[in-house]
Amino acid sequence: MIRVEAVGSGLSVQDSGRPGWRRFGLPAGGAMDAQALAHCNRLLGNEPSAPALEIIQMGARLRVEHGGWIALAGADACQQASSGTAFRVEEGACLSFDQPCAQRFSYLAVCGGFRVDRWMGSAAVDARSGLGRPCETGDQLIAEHKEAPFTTEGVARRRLSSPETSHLDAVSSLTENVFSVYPGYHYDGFGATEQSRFVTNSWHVSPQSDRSGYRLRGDPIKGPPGGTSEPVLPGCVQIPGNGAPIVTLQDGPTVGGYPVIALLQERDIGRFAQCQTEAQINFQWIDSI
Amino acid sequence: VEFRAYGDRGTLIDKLSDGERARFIATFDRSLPPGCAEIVPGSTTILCLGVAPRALASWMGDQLDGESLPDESSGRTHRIPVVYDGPDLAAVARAAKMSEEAVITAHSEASYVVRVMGFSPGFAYLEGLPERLQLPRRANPRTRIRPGSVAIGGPHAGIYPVESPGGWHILGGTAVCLFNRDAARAAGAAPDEVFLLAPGDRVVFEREAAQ
Repeated sequence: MIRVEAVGSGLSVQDSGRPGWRRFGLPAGGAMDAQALAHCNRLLGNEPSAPALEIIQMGARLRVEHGGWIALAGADACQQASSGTAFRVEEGACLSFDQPCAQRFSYLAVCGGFRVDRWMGSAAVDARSGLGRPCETGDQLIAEHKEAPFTTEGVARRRLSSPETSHLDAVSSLTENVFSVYPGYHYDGFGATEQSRFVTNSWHVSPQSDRSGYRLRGDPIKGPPGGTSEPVLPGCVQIPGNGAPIVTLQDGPTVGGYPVIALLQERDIGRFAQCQTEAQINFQWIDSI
Repeated sequence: VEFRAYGDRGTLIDKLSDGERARFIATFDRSLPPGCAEIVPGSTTILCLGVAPRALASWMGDQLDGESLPDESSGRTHRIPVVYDGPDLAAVARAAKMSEEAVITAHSEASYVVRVMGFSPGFAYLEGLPERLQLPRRANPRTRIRPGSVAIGGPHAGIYPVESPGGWHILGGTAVCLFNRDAARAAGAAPDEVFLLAPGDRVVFEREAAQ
């Protein structure tokens, strides 16, 4: 029911991922902003983990080929509708994601989720692992159900409340984005000076950032040498030889050899992932060390 | 043995002897502690997701007090046929000051154990590489390595399961499938239907003539 007319910075089908396979080297993957995914699904009465479109800002354009209900959450980039709402689209309508906004990912849900391939029960596209591929121009995406399983009036009134979008409202491209972090596995190996520089430095999201992880630009941190390959999770902050932090994210490797200085709180991963290229990042240590 | 908090995600078990590490992994293979979604073995550690350090330490204590300690060598053995025609065979022979023949013999006569998996899905870091073949990784990693490439890097041997970049020296190739994406499409596919190797498995390389 939707045809991809332009991919812009990229878009792919994502759900809540495939946990349970990390010991074989396969990350869970899934939506970069799990909260926004759940919210756009909830607006249509879908399972919170139903497959939705994850749209990276900016430039994607979609054409509606069969009318139906759609919901949007995450970055408020769509010219024709607001994030946090469900609405009906008619055949021939165009949805263009080209409004500048502070956040990186928009999510678009259809009734019942998209009907797509699954691996290990999950539709999450993980190009790095060879599971599916990002959408290409001309791709057609089909909704599982033609109509919402409830009255359309009910859907039209649905709207996300402010607590549900607070993690998005907090994302800023102009001022600092502050994240409280736990000490990582190799925290002690960094020594007091570098531990303190990690939180007093200001960092910026590098353009070399993708679903595997974000690189941060700033005054380099000196760390211990790399070592054996130990488990890493989304939110782990590693310091490679060049001193510029790498924050592992959803499609990132399951083990890493660079020292891990810090770890984001699980609930902050979506807010972190939503930070755009060049956004300012500041860390603070969680007290109870 | 140290049970350390891994942020708010679970517990990293650290300071394990090789014997303890193998026994802990075998214990997790039998059952997972309540609340634990998955475990991830590292080279020297084990990450247990969803369980706090104190609860995990007490659960593990109970398990190990039990009568039937799991056999630490419960893994399977896989024989992997290899055609030794890799682009780095000559360079490895030069660096190791051996003939190409001797490199092939050394690589295929050793027996290996899957220490840890990661880097890409199904990629196993194999320990057991003869010391003479332990070389630094390539200064210029390749941007694309073919699936099935049999390679060595640092102290490890490995096989690239999917196309990826990589800095290891490629000695040859195998037709064996390490990550079966088609099997992964079936609902409820078992791990051994999807991945050839698992942590703790043994691997032997068998030389095969080029087709």
